[in-house]
Amino acid sequence: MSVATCQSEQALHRIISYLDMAGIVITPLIEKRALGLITEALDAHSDDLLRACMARMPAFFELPERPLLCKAPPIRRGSLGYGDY
Amino acid sequence: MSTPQPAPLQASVHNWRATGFRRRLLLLSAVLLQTAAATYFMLSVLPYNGGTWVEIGMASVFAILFSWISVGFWIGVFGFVLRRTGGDRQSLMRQQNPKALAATAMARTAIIMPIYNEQVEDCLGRLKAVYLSVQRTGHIEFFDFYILSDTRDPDIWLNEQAAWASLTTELEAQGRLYYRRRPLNQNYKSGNVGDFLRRWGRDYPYMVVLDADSLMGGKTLVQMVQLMQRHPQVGIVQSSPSLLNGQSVFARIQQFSNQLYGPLFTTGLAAIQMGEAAFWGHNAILRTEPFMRHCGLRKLPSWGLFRGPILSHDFVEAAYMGRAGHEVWLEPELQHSYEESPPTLVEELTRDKRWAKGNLQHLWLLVRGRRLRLAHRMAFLNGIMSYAASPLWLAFLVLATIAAASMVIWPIDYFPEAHQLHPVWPEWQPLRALVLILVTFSLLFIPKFLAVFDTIAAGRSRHFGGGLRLFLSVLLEMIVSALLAPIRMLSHTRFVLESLFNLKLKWAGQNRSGESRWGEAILNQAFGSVLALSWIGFAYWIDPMFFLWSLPVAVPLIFAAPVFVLLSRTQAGQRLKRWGLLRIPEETGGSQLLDDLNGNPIQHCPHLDLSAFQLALVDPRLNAVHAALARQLGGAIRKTRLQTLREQCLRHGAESLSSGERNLLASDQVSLTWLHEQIWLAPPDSVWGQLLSKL
Repeated sequence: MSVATCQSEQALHRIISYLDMAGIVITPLIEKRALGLITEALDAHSDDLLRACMARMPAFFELPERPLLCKAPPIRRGSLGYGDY
Repeated sequence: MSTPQPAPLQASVHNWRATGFRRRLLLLSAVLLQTAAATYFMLSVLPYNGGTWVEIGMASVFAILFSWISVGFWIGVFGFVLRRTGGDRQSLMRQQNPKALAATAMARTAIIMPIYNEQVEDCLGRLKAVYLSVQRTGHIEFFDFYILSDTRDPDIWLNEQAAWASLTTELEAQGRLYYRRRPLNQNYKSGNVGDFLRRWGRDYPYMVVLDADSLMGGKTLVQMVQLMQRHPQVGIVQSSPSLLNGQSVFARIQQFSNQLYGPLFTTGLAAIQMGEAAFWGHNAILRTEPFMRHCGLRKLPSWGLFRGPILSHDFVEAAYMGRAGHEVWLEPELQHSYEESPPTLVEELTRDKRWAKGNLQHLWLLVRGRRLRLAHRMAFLNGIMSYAASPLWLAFLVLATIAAASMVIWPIDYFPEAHQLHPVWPEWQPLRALVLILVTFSLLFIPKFLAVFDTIAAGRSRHFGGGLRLFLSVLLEMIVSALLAPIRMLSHTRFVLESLFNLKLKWAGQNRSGESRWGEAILNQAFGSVLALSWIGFAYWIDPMFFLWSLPVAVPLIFAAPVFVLLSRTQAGQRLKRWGLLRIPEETGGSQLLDDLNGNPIQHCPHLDLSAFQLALVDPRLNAVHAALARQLGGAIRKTRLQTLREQCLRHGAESLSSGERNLLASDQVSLTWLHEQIWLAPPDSVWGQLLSKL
């Protein structure tokens, strides 16, 4: 097994893992698209295949975005009264 | 936002004060009379009839303990009488016209849940059940929910944050369910609540405080807001939370006794306290403005235990509200208010250790607190006695042992008093002692029997599994209570002594699910067991009769380890449930809240292989959430440190960082984003590359 094959296998695993964690359902179509991404990255003769693949991810996949949540409402500053014991 | 509809009931204010005075006078008279008679009888039991210092000590301690038991007894009797005669007409709920109450306009209310190193999935599951219940009332728009975290461990708070984000999306509660984590923990829970009030208190006329194990029905919460709306003079309404959802034998016994006997005692207590009740720290609604104005808690200025932050804040806050002229009501008729029991005796005692110190601190306020109402001072005393009773009981046993030993070891003193003409013939009066013990036990058990009778008379015995199962459950509860009493006594004594000598107590989260292990239990209980064995050995040597008297206290201590382990068992608890024993009404008749809690858990669940910190760096969605909620930490020195930590984390993994270092990285937006990008580019043979290959 050549080093390039190993790298592309690792890249495929990395891409599929990322997509899965990002909430994309892995279908044959997604796999084909991932393979296309790796092919393009290999064609670019990059020294770092993983970096080249991850850089191309946004162009190949639309990653679902989580709506930005409001952690807390605007602050309306008040104070506590400290009286006698 | 609605305008409050004040319906001041000034006439009834005067009425309850007069009624309250009469009731308290009646209680005081009954307790004093009963205690005086019992103490007189006690003196007649003793060989020298109180003629020695040891016997004077015994009689004094006995009088204090007996009066303490007597208060409980009469409160139970009051509760029984009131419940059998249709309830307390002077209570806040009974002053309402139900239709008028239901038609009262609502007002904005914050439901806050302070948490600290809790089981996130459990406490947010409870909050979800509360949210859904409020939603079903159709009044959700009046309520905002706040999770107020004091958690320091990054793996726990990141999980809290992830669970909050997931729950917000799940409930579509954007802008209604909030999460706040204090960067600095100061003044424990009251500091956490104070932090919330300083930021958002002015937005809400009312605030409902929940504990991490609290559960409340939506209708109850709406009712509480409406009660506050109708009674502007009321500062706090405290519901009476019932225990539920217990799984272990211990938790099931606790919740059974709480649900069976509790209503009697809370009815009696509410009838005595009336508008000067205590605040129990949770499952209560508070009027925010006066609470903020009057209930800031200054640190105690004295020495030792009485110096530093007030640990048990709730009683003090109620006292301060009372001092400011606001009423505090305990309202037992508010339904669907729950909390959970600690799963094991170990956990209960861990909690008691904190509570003992907190309650004993109140001694300073009891004496030095200015312009506090007498009823609230009595509430302090009540809390103090909850723990001080244990060392007093132990002192009584020690004095009794000395008195018994003195009859054998030392020569008998026939002339204990100076200038005595005739000798006395000192001897114990075992029959009288037996009568006295029976009287004392009857004070402990009669209220329980009254509660059972009340349940049967109200046709509620089927809620507890039916007549026979109710009887068997009560029997089991009483046996276990008798076993636990000496164990609690010894532990509480230790806590009181530790508190008085101001040893450092760890304020940790409560384990609400674990079981006790044999090795741990034997080791922890060895001291008590050896002490009890030595004591009964000595008792047998001085007098076989005294040996027999010592057994009810000594035997539970000797077998404390098995008691701890067996009571903590969840499987055994479930078996009892299947047999229909120790059942509670919610298990028999069903409960929407319980169904939501157990059948509809939150969707968020922690990753099986990755820690919350690792997940925050690896998971693209969670990383986006955490990064969006983090701050961009500034300062040249801190930025350099963050850079170093980021590189360390990338090169050597999350495990190479301390908890504080992970905390810092997880709080910084730049670090979270940078690490996420770099980790996914990490070479396959690196620490992170290997981790990713296992996903």
